[in-house]
Amino acid sequence: MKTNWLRTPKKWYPYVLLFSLLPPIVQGGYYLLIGSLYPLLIEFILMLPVIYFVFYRKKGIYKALKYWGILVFCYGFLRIVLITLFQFDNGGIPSAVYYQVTPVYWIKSFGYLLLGLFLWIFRKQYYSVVT
Amino acid sequence: MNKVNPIIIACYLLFFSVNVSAQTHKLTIEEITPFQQKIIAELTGHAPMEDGSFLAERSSEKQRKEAVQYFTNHFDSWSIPVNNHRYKIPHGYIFPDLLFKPVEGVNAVGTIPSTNNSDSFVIIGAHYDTERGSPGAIDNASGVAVCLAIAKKFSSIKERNFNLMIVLFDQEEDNEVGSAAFAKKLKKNGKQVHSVHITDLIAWDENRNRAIDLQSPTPYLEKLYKSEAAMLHIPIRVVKGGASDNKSFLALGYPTVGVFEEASDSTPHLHRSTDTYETVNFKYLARATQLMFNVLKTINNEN
Repeated sequence: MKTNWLRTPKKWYPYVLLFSLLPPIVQGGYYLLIGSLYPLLIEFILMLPVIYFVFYRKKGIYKALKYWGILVFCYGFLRIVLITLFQFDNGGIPSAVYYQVTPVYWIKSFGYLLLGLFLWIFRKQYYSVVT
Repeated sequence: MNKVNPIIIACYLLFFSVNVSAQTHKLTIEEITPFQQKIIAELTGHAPMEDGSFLAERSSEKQRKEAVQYFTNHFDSWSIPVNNHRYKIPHGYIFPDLLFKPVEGVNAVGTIPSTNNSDSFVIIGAHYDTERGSPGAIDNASGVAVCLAIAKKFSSIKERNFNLMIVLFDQEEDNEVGSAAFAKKLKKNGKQVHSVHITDLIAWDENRNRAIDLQSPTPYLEKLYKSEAAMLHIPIRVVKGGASDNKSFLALGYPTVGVFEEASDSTPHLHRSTDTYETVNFKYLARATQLMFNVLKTINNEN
């Protein structure tokens, strides 16, 4: 009998979580290098629950996947809402921001949306593997 | 028999040599105008650049990069050393900093060195970027044309008692981030700055009164500009505040002056697609250039 690959639980889901933590760390680090601490600080504060769930709570990875999935989804959604609004009214938008909204930016934004959904949807499967 | 008096000959020769010297360092309207017409035509897409391409505006990264290359080529052609200033800074607001890459830009910088090893720097500057969708002829290809005309002429002066730094700023339209980054770097490097002269919006004179606004000059610079303006029959009005890149230097305490067309008689095409080559008053622009050049010449003679 054929098994559906998507429905088969995978042990590598936590690595997706780990991977999804990288972009904000890189972005925050980049800002830190040019003298601005607060983006990294905000990102670190948002990541604190992930660390707490993973190391200090039962079913920690499940909860971390759930929490971080929602956050990544919201991040992607916010980006898409913002750049959609730019299409209707960009009068007051600084050029330094306006010209960053390229097709690559759109793809990345949808990528965050899908990544968030992935983490959210497959969190239960991961839990079923480890229990 | 006519006997020629050697003293008269010596006086004549002396007068002639001084006159020739004065002529060499004089910037005439006839000399300035064709040069500035070419610069503004090329920077606004009115005429093609040397490679045949058209630069319709200077707002995207690619367009600004082309503009910087254009300035660098000009500095090179006059043997002015180029040391462009690249910067990368945060947006300064939470959401853009979390959602976008930092602000990046390039200030085009040429420095005409002094001929007597002076450590003193005089800075002239204008921003070269434009609002999106605007060719930016008056805002601010006009200011750039002033700086380039002065740079070309000043580089031919044989005795220079200060270093003249010509800075064409990026991203003035985005809260003057280019000049702010440059002024900060200048402060950090501890350069000895005699004065900073910033020009923006300097080619509109609908009421034909030739008047120029000086923005927040120090008493010394105000006196200097007024005295040179009187000789050129240019009325001067002194106003407070900072409306352009002069803000960045005023904030760090540099002796600064902003040289602008009158605020009460300023271009109605600001930030619009109609800010084109055709709206530029080249005679007014040339007079403003003469004024700034004469001020620099006086500073040169004083030092």
